Amino acid sequence: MPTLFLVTFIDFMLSHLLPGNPALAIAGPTASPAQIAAVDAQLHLNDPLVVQYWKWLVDSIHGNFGMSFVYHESVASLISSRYQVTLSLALYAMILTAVLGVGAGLLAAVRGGLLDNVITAIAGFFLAVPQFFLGLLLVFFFAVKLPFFAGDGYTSLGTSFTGFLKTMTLPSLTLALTGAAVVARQFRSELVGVFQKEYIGFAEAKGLSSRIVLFRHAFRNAFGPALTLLGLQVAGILGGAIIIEEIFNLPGLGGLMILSLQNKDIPVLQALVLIACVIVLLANLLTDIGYARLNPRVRAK
Amino acid sequence: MKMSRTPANSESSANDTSEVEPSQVDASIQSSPKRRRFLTLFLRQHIAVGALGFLLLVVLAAVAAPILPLQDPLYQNLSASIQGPTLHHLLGTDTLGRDLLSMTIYGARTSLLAALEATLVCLLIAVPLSLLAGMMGGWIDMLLSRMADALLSLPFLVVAIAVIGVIGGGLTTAMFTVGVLFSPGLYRVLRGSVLTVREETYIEAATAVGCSRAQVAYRHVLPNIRAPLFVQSAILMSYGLLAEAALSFLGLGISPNQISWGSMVGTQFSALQRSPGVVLIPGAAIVLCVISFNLIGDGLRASIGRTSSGTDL
Repeated sequence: MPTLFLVTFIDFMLSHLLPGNPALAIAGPTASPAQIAAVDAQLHLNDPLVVQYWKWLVDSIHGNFGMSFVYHESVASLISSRYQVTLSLALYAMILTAVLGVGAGLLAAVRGGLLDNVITAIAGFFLAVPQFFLGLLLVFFFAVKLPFFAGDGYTSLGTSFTGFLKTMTLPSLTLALTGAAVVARQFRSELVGVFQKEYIGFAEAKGLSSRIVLFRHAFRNAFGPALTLLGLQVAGILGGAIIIEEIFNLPGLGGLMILSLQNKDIPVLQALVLIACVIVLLANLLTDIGYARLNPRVRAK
Repeated sequence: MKMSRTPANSESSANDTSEVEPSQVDASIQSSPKRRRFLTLFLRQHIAVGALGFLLLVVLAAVAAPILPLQDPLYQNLSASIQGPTLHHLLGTDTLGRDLLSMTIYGARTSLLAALEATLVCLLIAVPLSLLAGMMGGWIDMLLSRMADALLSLPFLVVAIAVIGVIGGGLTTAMFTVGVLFSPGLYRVLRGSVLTVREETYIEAATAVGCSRAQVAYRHVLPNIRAPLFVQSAILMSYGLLAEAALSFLGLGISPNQISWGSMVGTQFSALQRSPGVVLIPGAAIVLCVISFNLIGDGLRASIGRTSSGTDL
């Protein structure tokens, strides 16, 4: 709850961070007094700060984010016409993060040796590459040099499944690789730690096959911390989506956010930031619940 | 990256058990042999030393840029746009005919300074607050830690882009904001270290001798959280570089007559197919510097060797 309060307050204050008189900054230097008064009215700028915040908060909770200053359309309808792109991008990226991260971590920990070093080095590389650069590299190699995928554009999942894979795989992969590297490193070191525990030796001594030991004993015990990190990647994916949609020319919410910044379209911006923050907080909550289910000791507390 | 860490770690922890305890009694008296031990251990981290050497070269080039025989990085020559490497332009030219080598070196000035600014701002906020919270405890600690947790649970890039985009101002304002947004992460790591150090016998001794709490914090706790402080500073530099690159790529903060590695990629990326160099060269510069800072962080962690050196932010 305190987090939610802080989030909404920071988000609300965005309209007051504009240099100078917010109404003047939003309406533009050529605005007539009537236009400025209209902006004042919509943002309740003539009320005391606390009252402004309260009115904005109540409106937002009801899904009423006001009217866009630029598009003469309600913020809600702007967002609903674009959210599918970002949602499918984020979900696809999340699946890739989980599969690649857990898979690579598992492989590194179980095989060890050279493969372990190679995977760890590759993870170190992906942690150091800015996502926009990684995206451009992937476009260069897998859309230009080897035209497996499309370098830009969007095809919805409903229209064509192969079209979706063709357009969305590269952007999702770009978003996923950074998080996958974080998860892989963590999961690898957790697994290596678990392998040294006595109950693993005991399970092996009981004569269980190495596969059962790995998946029923080691995996379950090492997965908790990796799951937590996986949940934290949601924040990174949403932030990265802003940049990735720009590179791959996807008509999603990230592009809308850049546009709203350029136009100083504050209601749109506030709605987008609020939605992103709430999604991240929900993801953290779900992660905690999942962690507790995996780990009875946490549940008992 | 971890290749060198495992053996070095076991080595330093072996040293720890025999050496650290006596030298901890009074850090100031024995600081010079301790420092030498740190240097010997760090120099054994060949990868980290290599990374440090590379970064020193980059910094040297960035500082010396005005006296190097380079072209004006902003000089445009449209008739010479998108050239491959020639004797005149060692790395070729970009879409506006500007010299890529010169741009990359001048870009290092902007990018490294921006990362340094974010790191310093973050340190100036997080170090005093973590000392305050760790030493005082109670409601101060609870309030600060709650706020840090709340800020940490936000999507960093979304908030950073929104705030910086709205505030406007130049790169200095932008990186100041980045530093502020980084600080809760550093605060959390350092507060943990302060809590560990606070329980040590030498802190109890200092308190018993009659040092005030502020004196204890400054003279005895602060020197003993150096290890996580150095490691985190190296990591912060790499995060700062990445943040600057992302913001400048989007054209936030940076002004059109300023050159940074991120803005080089951001303004030129549509030319990727015609001339990969305009994107690959500044991109590679970012990646190499970020990896170098991470490797130095790893090397420091291994050679300072105390267990409380902290993990990633």
